[in-house]
Amino acid sequence: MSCYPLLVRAVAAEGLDGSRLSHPSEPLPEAQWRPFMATVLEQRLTGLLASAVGADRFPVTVSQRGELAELDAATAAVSLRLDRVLLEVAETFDGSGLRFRVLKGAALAHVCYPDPRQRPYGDVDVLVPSARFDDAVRLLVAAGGRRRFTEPRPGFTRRFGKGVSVQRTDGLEVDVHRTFTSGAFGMTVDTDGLFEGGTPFTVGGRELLGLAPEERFLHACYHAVLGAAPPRALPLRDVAQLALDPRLDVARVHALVERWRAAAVAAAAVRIAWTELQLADTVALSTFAAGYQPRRRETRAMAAYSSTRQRYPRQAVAALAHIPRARDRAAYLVALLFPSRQYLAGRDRSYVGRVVRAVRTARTIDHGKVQP
Amino acid sequence: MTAKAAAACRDPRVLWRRTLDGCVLLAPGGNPVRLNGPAAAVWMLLDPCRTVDDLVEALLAVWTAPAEVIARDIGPLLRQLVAADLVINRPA
Repeated sequence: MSCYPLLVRAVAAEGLDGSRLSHPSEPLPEAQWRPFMATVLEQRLTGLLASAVGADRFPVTVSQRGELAELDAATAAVSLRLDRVLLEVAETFDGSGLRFRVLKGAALAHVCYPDPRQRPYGDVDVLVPSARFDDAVRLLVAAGGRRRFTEPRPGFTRRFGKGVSVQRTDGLEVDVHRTFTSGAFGMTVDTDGLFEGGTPFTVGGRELLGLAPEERFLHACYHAVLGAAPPRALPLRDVAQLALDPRLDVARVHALVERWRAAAVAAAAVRIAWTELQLADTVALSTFAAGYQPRRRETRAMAAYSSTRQRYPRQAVAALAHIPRARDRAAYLVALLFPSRQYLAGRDRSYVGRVVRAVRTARTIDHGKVQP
Repeated sequence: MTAKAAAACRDPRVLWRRTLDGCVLLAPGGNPVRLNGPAAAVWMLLDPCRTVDDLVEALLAVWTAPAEVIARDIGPLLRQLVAADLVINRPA
């Protein structure tokens, strides 16, 4: 069952001709407009709604249009500020010969949507090579940023983690990624391979690189189904937007999915996107998603991301099995069970407490059943 | 900028987005600037670069104001956009 009202899902599907969802035929009464707009804002759908209103596909009153225009302009202003941040990050990284790829909102807006305003974003996301991860964070901190969260031990994120958020003095955030997600599914992505290709796009006269199309599509799948529970509307729209692009090399998507052991992730993302946005389109990926039967271990692995209890600890435990070398597994365990005192101070307050919590988490991951 | 000697162009370093009532622009080192109505229409027309005469002719096609009113107002508007580091003048 969907988490979002039909009206909101119709906004998320704006511009997708194959969606069976439709906008209202008359302006919403005020009592309905308020909660509707609250959800549109929370789900970052103002750009898509503004597109629909501007094209006279979604009727509004004069006052509703005025309110939406203010929100649309404010959202656009944030996206522009973030684009400026992205250019500053690019200049900083260029100075140190640090290659990177732009991820998520900024890349999707400029590359995949007919109008960038349809795809707003709230931060800057960049992917850097694992070997240069610490350099990237150091550069951003030296430029005045503050790492938002301490890592368990120095070098942990570079070896095992998803990434880190760096908050700038202007309050805007740069998320530096090493892989697509935390936990087991993040461990199986070929992170070095992500830099073999790229999609160029231009911001403010400067050329930047996003991921290659097939990697970009899979990242959208990871983000949609592993990034939040329940999946958010805009990431689901991203999945549909990319899956419906006729230029996507589906054979290459399947090859990557095989290599990364990500079939269940891709299938779930497309299936949920097609269901939520009520898409009638039949493309190779929707057929694959509809017919895919996840193995029990895949269902178990994905449960660590959809669980509302101990989400991060469950992912951390599940990741262990995907670290190939015994020495690295040992380092991983030591870092998590006996992190730095600075890390511990913000969490368990004692090593004993931390070990007890770890044991409890491991016991809740019942190897015979899926735990909600 | 004289009417025939130069063309107005968007500064390529300016970031911008279309919005429901016009557009929002961000020049390097500046704050977001919101353009509505004629100012937004002029910005949208400045791709490619255009002379004043080109702009007047293009605006006549979308605005109901008399040609002499548009011609009178376009100069000050372009000067404001140049002063805000959003538009640059180039030889036509």
